Formats: sequence, C-alpha cells, structure tokens
Amino acid sequence: MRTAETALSFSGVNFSYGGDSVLKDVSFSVPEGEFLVIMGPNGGGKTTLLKLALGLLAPSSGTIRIHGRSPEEDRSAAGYVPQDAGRNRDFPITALEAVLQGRLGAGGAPAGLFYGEADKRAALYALERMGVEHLARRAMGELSQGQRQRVLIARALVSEPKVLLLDEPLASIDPDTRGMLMKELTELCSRMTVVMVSHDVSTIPGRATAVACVNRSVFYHDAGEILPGMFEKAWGTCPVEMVAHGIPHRVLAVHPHGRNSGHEHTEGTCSHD
Amino acid sequence: MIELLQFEFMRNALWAALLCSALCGILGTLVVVKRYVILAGGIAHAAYGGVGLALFLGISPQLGAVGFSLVLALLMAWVMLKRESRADAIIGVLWAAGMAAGVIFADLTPGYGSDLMSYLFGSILTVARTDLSMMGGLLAVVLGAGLFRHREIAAFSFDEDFARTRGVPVTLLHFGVVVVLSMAVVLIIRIVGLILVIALLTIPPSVAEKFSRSLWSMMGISCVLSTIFSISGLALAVRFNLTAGAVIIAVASVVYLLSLALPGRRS
Repeated sequence: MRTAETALSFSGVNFSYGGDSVLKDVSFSVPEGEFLVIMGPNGGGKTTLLKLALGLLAPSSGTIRIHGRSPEEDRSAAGYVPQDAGRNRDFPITALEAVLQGRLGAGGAPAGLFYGEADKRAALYALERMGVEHLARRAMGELSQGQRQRVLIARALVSEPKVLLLDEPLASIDPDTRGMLMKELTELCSRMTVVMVSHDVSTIPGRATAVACVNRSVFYHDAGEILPGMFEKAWGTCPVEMVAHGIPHRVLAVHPHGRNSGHEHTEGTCSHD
Repeated sequence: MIELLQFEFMRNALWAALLCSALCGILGTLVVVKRYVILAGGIAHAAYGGVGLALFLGISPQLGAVGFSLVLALLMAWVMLKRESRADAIIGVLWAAGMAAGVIFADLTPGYGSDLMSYLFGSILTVARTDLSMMGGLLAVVLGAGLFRHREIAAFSFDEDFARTRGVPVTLLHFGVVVVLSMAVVLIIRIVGLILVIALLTIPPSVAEKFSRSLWSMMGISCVLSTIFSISGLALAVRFNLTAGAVIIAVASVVYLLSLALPGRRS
C-alpha cells in the first residue's frame, strides 16, 4: 500500500478538439515517486494527456491537479520534455542557452535583463546530471539525437520540478543510448515523479512502476507489467504489434514476483501466431 | 557615389537603406526561425490592398497600407494560433484577396497608376523624411522591447510549448511580433517594393544562420549583411541607372548562392 502524496491526478477529464472527443472521462491518480509509462496508438490522446497535465491545453470538463494545484496555478511543479522532432535543428542556440530557458518563470530566474550566475550554475549542474556538461558551449544543431534529448531533459530539470513529463524521449534514439536514458530516468524517480509517453513496450519491464494505456479512455495499471486483458480493453485486438511493431511477445512476460502476481500473462492471451 | 551625397534625396536614400537593414536583420531573423515567411509575404501583398483602398478613398496611401495590413496581419496571426494545420492555405487566400482588392480599387480610381507602381517595385530615391522618422521610431520600439524581453523572445522562438510551461506570454509575443512585422513590412515596401520585401527579410538571416550560435548573433550578422546588400545595391543602381530595389535583391541573391558553397561553423 502506498502512502505517498498524490503527484498528479485527473478526475472526470474530457477533452474535445473541433467537435471530436479526444479523451473521454479520464480519471486516475499518480502517487509521488511513480515511474508512469503512458502507451497507446497514434492519435489515441497520449500527447494530449501530457499537454493537459502541463496546462498547455484546457480540459472541456473535469479537473487536473499537480500536487494539489491546477497546472496553470503552479507552473514550477512540472518539468516538460517535449517531443524532439528535429523540426528546430537549425535554430542558433547553444546547449547551455537552451537549458537556461528552463530558469524562466515561476521556478526560475528572478526578474531582470540577464541570466545570473546562479542560473548559469544551475544550468551547468543540470547538464552535468545528464552527463553532457562538456557540450554546454556547442550548438544544438551539432549534437546527436541522444545528446539533444539529454539537453532537453536538463532544461526540464533545471527548474527543480516535482513531476517530470516526457513526450516520446526515446524516439529515434539508438538502443544503447535508450537503455542508458531509461536507467537515468529511473534514478530521477527517487527525487521526483516521472511520467513518460512511449511507443516502446520494451521500456516497461523492470523500470516502470505503472502503465497507463490511452485510447480515448485511460486504463491505469499500478504495476510495471503489461497485464492480460489490458490492451484488449484499449484496442479490442492484440496490441503488441500495434505498439511494439513486431517485438517478440516474450519481452512482455510478467515477472514471477511482480506486484500484481494474481494476474498471469500467458502466450495464449493474444490469439495469433 | 560620394559626391552624390550632397543631394538630400541621396542622403535620405542612404538613411533609408540603413534603417531598413536594421529592421530586416532583426525581424527577418524571427521570420526565418519562426517560419513566418508566408505570413510576411501575405502582409506585404495585403498592404497593396490598403494602398488601393486609400487611393480610392483619397486618404494617405501609407495610412491605408498600415491600417489594412494590420487588420489582415492580426487575422493571419489568429489563424496561425487557432487553425495551425491549415494556416498556410488561409494566409494564401488572404494574400491573394488583399492583392486583388488593391488592383480593383486602383481600377476604380483614375490617374494613380504610377503611384501604385512605386509600391510594387519600391522607390528608395524618393523616400521622404516622414518615412525615415517612422522607420527610426519603429526601430527604437523593436530595440527597446527586444532588449527588455530578450530571454522571453529567445524561449518563444526556440520552443513555444516549453516557453508556455515556464510562464512566458507566448500568445502576446506571437501577436506582438506579427504587429511589429506588419508595420515594418509596410515601411520597407517603400524601399524595395512589396515583390522584393520577402527576399530582404529572408536572405540575410538565411546566410547568417549558417554562422550563428545565438539568435542575437544571427540578428547582428543579418543587419551587417543587409546593410552591405543595400548600400552596394544602391551604388550599382545609381552607377548603371537600374531599379535600386531590384539591384539590392540581386546582390543579396548572389551572396546567398555563394554562401551555400561555404562550409558553415555548424555541420
């Protein structure tokens, strides 16, 4: 039984865009220190869920709370790592300057014309935490995808958020770097709650402490496994191919000592060969 | 060239080129990194509708252009926020509609053909003092706002969503940049004409981007390049008796092509 404070909660949240319902009656709560992985098909509402939690979108109805306050009310509570589509690759900015932008606003720099010494120290420390302080003076356009992702995570960490929200941080990153990033994110969980949108089912075992499947509705599972029946609810078909794009089923096997040991994942759950 | 400076029209032309370069270097950088190129083109052509309307109503063409393009620019800025996925098409419609309105109003107003031509191709050698003071005033506003809010502007330019999560007033900055841009475009039309204004906003920053590591160095390099293009274009135009606006852009385009062959500081 968890006694931790609730870090993030959705209750009865609906969101429509242009008359289409994107998210319907979403309710769940994430306890402090959780590593939540949000999964689901494209267009299922994963990014929308994240943007609602950040206050970038307003729900049509329902309430969202981050540590008891609305996202707009307390911007310093959440740190955002947006999807890096490389759209802005040519933008003239150094890694340090990008991280300094995380010091703006409520949790960041005091009002003034320039970033101060404290801001720079905090930015360099955040880069160091992500192992990329040696790249501080390099232009973002010179960095590899994995390095850019670390800088973007450092930018979110520099304001010392209580909840870190990441949108597809592992997309277009090579498997080795992916493993290292996952390990670092897991370590961050000792200090903050981590909520990560991911396509990649293989990130879940041993790392995530909860999984939410999003496809208009949200199915929240307080365990680090993908459980039988979970995806069928969300998709109505075997999800593994939709999500993992052909990753063998065995990566999804339930750990024998998993928290929800009452459920057993069997190879027969998905009815195909 | 130097002895020509004893004429006031030549001195005014030189000042116009300098002020215009500063505005284009700063705002053009934002146009390029924010992908506002279509918007800048739309505003420029919408301004033509304002000129036609002003001539038809018998008011100052400059005033007509300012008012008309300000209204359409705000409409375009709103479309970019609310209908992002179709913003370019809608801006294209407003672009064409503004231009067509200008032509129709000009048709309905006899005897103003040559005046309209100066808005199409620019007339740097007939720039008036009032144009210069308006450009100077706008530059002061841009520099003031830019210096005071440079951190927020950089964050807004680099990543709007992230900037919002840090409390940066992204919507306000979006509209602010569009309003200032529409004012600048209307004034710059006097120098190089609406056909060429997009080139002056995009070419110097596109060359500068290759050698820049910050938004501010990109703006600085763009201002210097724009000044070089304007002054050398002006000198060549006077020397060979060519249309100044077109020669300025020709010089800029040649340098842009040459810059493509140069290795940048970033790979």
